[in-house]
Amino acid sequence: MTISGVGTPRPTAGMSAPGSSASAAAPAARIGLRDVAVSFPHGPDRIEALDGIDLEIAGGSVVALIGPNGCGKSTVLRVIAGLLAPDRGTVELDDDPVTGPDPRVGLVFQEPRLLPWRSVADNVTYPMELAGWPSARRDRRRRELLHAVGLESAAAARPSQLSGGMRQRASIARALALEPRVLLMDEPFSALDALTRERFNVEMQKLHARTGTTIVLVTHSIAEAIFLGDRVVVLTPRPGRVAADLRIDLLRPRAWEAMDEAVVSTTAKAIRTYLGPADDTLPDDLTPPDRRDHDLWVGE
Amino acid sequence: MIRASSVASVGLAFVVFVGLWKAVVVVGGYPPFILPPPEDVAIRFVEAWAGGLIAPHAGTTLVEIALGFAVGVGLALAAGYLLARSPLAERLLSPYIVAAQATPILALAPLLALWFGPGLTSKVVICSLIVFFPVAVSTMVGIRSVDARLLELARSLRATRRQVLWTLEVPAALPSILGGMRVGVTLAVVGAIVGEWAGAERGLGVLVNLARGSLFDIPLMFATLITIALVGVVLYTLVVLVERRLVGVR
Amino acid sequence: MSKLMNSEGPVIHRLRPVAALVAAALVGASALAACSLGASPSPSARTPLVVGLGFIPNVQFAPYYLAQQEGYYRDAGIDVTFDHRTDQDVVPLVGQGAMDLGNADGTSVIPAVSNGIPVRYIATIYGSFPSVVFAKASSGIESAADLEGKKLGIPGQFGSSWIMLQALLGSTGLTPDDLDILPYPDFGQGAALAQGAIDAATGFANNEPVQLELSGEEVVVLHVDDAIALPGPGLIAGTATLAAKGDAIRAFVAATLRAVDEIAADPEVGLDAAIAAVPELAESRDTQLAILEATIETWRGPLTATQGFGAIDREGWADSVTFMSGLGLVPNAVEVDDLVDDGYLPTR
Repeated sequence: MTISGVGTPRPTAGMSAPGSSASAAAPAARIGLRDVAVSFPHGPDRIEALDGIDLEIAGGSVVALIGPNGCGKSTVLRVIAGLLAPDRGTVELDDDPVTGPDPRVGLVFQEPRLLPWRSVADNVTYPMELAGWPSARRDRRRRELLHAVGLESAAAARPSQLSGGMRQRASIARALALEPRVLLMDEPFSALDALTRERFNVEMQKLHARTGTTIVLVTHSIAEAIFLGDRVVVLTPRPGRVAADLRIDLLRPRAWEAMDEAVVSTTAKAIRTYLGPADDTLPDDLTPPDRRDHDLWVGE
Repeated sequence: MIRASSVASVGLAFVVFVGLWKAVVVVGGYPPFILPPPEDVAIRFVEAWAGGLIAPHAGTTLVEIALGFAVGVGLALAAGYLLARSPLAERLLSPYIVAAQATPILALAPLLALWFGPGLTSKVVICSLIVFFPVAVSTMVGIRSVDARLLELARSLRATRRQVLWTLEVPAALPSILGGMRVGVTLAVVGAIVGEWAGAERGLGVLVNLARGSLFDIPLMFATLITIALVGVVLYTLVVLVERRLVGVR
Repeated sequence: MSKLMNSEGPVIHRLRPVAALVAAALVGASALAACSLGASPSPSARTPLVVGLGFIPNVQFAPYYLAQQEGYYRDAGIDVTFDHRTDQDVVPLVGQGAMDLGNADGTSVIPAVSNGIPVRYIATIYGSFPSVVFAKASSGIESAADLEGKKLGIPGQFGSSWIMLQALLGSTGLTPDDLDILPYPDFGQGAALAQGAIDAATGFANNEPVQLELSGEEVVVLHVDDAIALPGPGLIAGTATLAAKGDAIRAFVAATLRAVDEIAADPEVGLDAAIAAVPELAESRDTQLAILEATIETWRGPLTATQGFGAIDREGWADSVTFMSGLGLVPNAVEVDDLVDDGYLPTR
C-alpha cells in the first residue's frame, strides 16, 4: 500500500547539516535482518521477544518501527547495534555480519545519557576520544556537530544546566560524531513536550537530508512515524513479528501542515488497524458485573 | 571561594563555643587544673607555638597522618574497585574487612606497636588501617553506582576496560570516594594519636600525655588538644576543596 | 507577639531550641560540678575516704590490704575505698577532691603544685627512690660514671625514671647525651637487658632487677639517693580535703603506717594479706615474696631508722625542687611548705 501526496518545502531554523570535510555524505549502510529471533531468561522460563523478524532496509532510508508496548522494538535496535546477539537468524550491515558493537552505528536513546561531569562539548567529543582521534580533528568535528544541532552557545554548559530538548540535541550530536553509517534512535523525542517534539521532527528531517545516513527510528507516535519515515514497519505484540510494512510516498521535504491531509489520516488509520487493541484497554462499563445493582459513587 | 557570610557564621559559632566554655567553667566552678578557662588556654596556645614547643610534635604527627592516609587510601581504592567489580572477591574478602573494622583500633594499636616497633611504621600502619574501611566502602559504592545505561553507551562505543574505568567509573564514583575520604582523613588523625599512645617519642598524642601526667600543665594539654582538632579541621577542609575541584558541577 | 514576627516566622520560636540547648548545657555542667566537688558528708558513723592507689592491684599495696583486712581503718572510724586508676590521673583528681587521698610520686607533686594543683604530700611510703638504673654485674658497670657511652634502655623521656636518670648522671657530670639512650615505649627494656641488647636500663627497684636476679643473673643496681634525695611515692591529699577531713586523714595515715611496720617486721604477713585481696598472686608466691621483700627494702630510707616509716625529708625535697627547676619543670617557684605537710604523721 502506498500513499502519495505533496509536501511543501519550508525553510526552518534549527539543525543544519554538519559539513564534513572529506565525506560530503557519510556512507549509509544497508541493514538486513533475516529470521531474527531473540528470547530472554525470565526465572526458569524464557520470554520470546522477537520471533523471526525479516527486514531489509535500503542504505540512506528512514524506517520507523512502531508497535504496542513490549513488542520488541527496542530489541530490534539492540540487535542491529550489536549489543544483543539473536538466538537465531542473521543481522548484516552492508553484507557484513554484525558480531558486536560498532562505533559507526550511532545510538540515540530516550534519555540523553550524557556524562554529567562533562561539558556538552566534551560529551560530544566522547566517542572520538574513545576512538583515539587526535585533538585537532576532534576540535574540528566538534565545531561542526555543535553548529549542526544549534548548541554552539551551550558548549561549555553541563547537562544539568540544560533543558531536556537541548540535552537530547547534544546526544544526537554525539551519535553523529563518528560519521555513522547507521543511526538508531529509540524513542528519542518521547520525553519532550509535543511542540518541541514537532520542531525536532522537522530538524531531524533536515539532518537526514544532509547526512543521508540510514535511520531506524523506534517511535510511539504515528504522526512522527509518517512524517519522518520512508517506511513504517508495524510489529505485533510479543513475540514480535512484522505485522505490516507500509511505504510512505509523501515527497520530501515534508511539512507538518501536510500531516492534516486526508491521505495521511488514511495511512494512520491503517497503521492503527495493524496495531490492534491494547491488552489493557478500559472496559466500556466501569461497574464490575457483580455490583451492577449499586451505585458505586454514592458512599459505601 | 570564601564568602564573607560564611566567615561571619564560622566566627559567630566560634564566639558561641568560647562563651559556652567560659560559662561552664564559671558556673561549674571548675579549678583551672581540671578545666582551664578559654583565656588561659589561648595564652598557653600562643606561648607554646611561639616558643616552638608544639611545632616539632605537630610536624611528627602530620607526617604520620599524611603517610598513613596515603597508604590507606591507595589500598582502599584498589580494594573498593575489586569489591565492586568482582562478586567473588566481595564474598571472600568482606567478612575479614568488616571484622578488621569492628575490632577497636585502641586494642590493636599496642599489638601493632609491638610488631612494627615504636617508630613511624607502626603509626602509618595504624592510620592506614583506620582509613581503609570508609574509603574502601565508599569506593565500592561509588563504582557500583555508575549508571548502567552509561556503561551500555560505552559498550556501544567499544570502549576498552581501561577507558571505561577512567572515563566512566572513576568520574562517576568520585563524589562517593571523596565523601569517604572526608571521613577517612579525620579518622587518620585519630589513628595517629592512638598510635602514639601505644608508644612514641614525639607527636601531639605524646605531648598530651606529657602535659597531663608529667608536666601537670593542663592549659598546655588543652592547647595541644585544640591543635589536634585544628589539624583535623584543616585536613577535612583540604579534602572538601579537592572535592570541589575534581567533582565540579554535575 | 506580632512585633517579633518576621518573614521567616516568629523569632522567639526559632530561638527556643537554641536557648534550651544552652540551658541544658549549663544545668548539666553545674550538676557535674556539684557531684565532683565532693558529696556532702554522710550521716554514718565512719568517715568515707576514697584512696587512689595509682596502679593495678599489686603486692606492693600489701599495707593497704592488711590494714583493711585487720580492721585498722574501721577501728579508726574511717570507711576506705580503693581506686586503681592509672597514676597520671591521681594528682589532679586528688587536687580537685574527687579522691580524698592518693598514692603519688614526689617528683610529680613538685610540678603539679607549681602549676596550681592544690595537693600536699603528707607521708612518705618509699624512703628510697624506687626508680633505679640496673645492669648485669658481668657488664662491669659499678657506678654512674661507668654508664658513659653505654646503651641504656628507658620507657621514654618522661616520668620519674627520666628525672632520676638525669639526676644520677648529673651527679657524675654526665648528661643523657653522653649515653646511647634507646626508647622502649612498651616497657620492654628489662627483657632487652636480659637478652643483652642493651648494657643497662631503668626500672623499679622491686620489679625488673628482681626479675633479673630470679632468673639467675647477678645484678648491679644504681640508686639516685646518694646524688639527690628525690622524694619517692607517698600519700597525698588535696588542701581542701585536709581542711574538711583532717582527723580522718590523720587516722588513715596512722593505720597505714602501722601496717607498714608489721609487714617490714614480717613480710609473710603482708604477702598473705595481698593474696587474700588478689588471689591470682598465689600462683607465683615465691616471686611475689621476693618482690615484697625488695619493696620493703625500698620503703627504708635515711630517716626511717630514726624517725620511722612515713617521715618526710624536707632537705631532700628542697634539693629536689632546685634540681627540677634546673630542668625547667617548675614554672612557678615553690617552697617546701607548699609541697609537704608533716602534721598528719603519727607522733613518735
